[in-house]
Amino acid sequence: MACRTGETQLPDVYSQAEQYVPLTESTYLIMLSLIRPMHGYGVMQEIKELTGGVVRLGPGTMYGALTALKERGMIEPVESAEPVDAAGRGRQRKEYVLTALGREVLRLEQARLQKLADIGREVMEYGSAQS
Amino acid sequence: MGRHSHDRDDSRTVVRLFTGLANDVEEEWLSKMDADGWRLAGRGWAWYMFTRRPVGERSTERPIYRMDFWPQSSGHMDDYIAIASDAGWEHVVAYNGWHYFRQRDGASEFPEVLSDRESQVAKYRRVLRAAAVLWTPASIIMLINLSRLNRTAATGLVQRIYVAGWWGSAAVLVLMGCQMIRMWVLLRRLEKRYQKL
Repeated sequence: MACRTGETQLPDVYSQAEQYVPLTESTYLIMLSLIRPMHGYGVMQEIKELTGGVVRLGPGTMYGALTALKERGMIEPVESAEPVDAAGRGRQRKEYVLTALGREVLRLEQARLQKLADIGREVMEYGSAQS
Repeated sequence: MGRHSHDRDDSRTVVRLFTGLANDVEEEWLSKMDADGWRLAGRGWAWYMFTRRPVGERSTERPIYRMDFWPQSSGHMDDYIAIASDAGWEHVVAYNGWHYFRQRDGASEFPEVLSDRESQVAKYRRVLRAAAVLWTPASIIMLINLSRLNRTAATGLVQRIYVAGWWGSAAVLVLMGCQMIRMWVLLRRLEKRYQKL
């Protein structure tokens, strides 16, 4: 419990985060989009743009992922004052953003994928892993 | 069926027993009905309400219907409906945890509500779990009543109704059982294909 100088206590998120890795492709891309606050359909469009239209998400997959991420405390709703609906239907879209746990899970997954990609490239270019 | 003079051409009720377990067949059927000019407007236990699609509107295409199952989380369904609406899907009707979506005219979005295998597998699991919770105790009750059925001589009117009711329920349960097996096979196939990759 005692904090030594120059060293903060490790938050619980680091021990929790590992169990959620690896992520599915959809979940990884959704979490990547939720680095900044965004509503569901915004995430779907963001993913379409990020992947150049290769990955398209359905609203059911989107909703299922948001529900699961919310349940596990990886994202949280953001209070937004402005109505998102431009059509004036008065329906407000709920925005979400990554929590500290969510950011840690995303960081772990990104590092894992990076490592796999690096190893893959080294083997394919030089015939073996360099390091 | 159930016709009135003023609405005989505008609405229609069709009796059809779908348990939800063959939702792919059901989606196809609804799509065909829409292509024939009958647009889904509501559903009850074993019947579907349709309204006549205005002439000239969407005559060539075959609109896509998709069903998703969320048994308890009705509180958050507004989120789903909002996201689906943004993505070009109209939420048509909700019944017993089943949600019926129809892709809007001219919506160029992805033609699936569930776009990856993981979410499809998750849906099948939700459906099968709910079906098993319903089916298992119902079957046990039916078996208990079977012994009673054999002991009772079916002579009076009450007994006859009882016997007919038992066989009717048994038929529904057998149908459900077969559909559960079919869905389980589909689920296994999805999971296996996923493992191979």
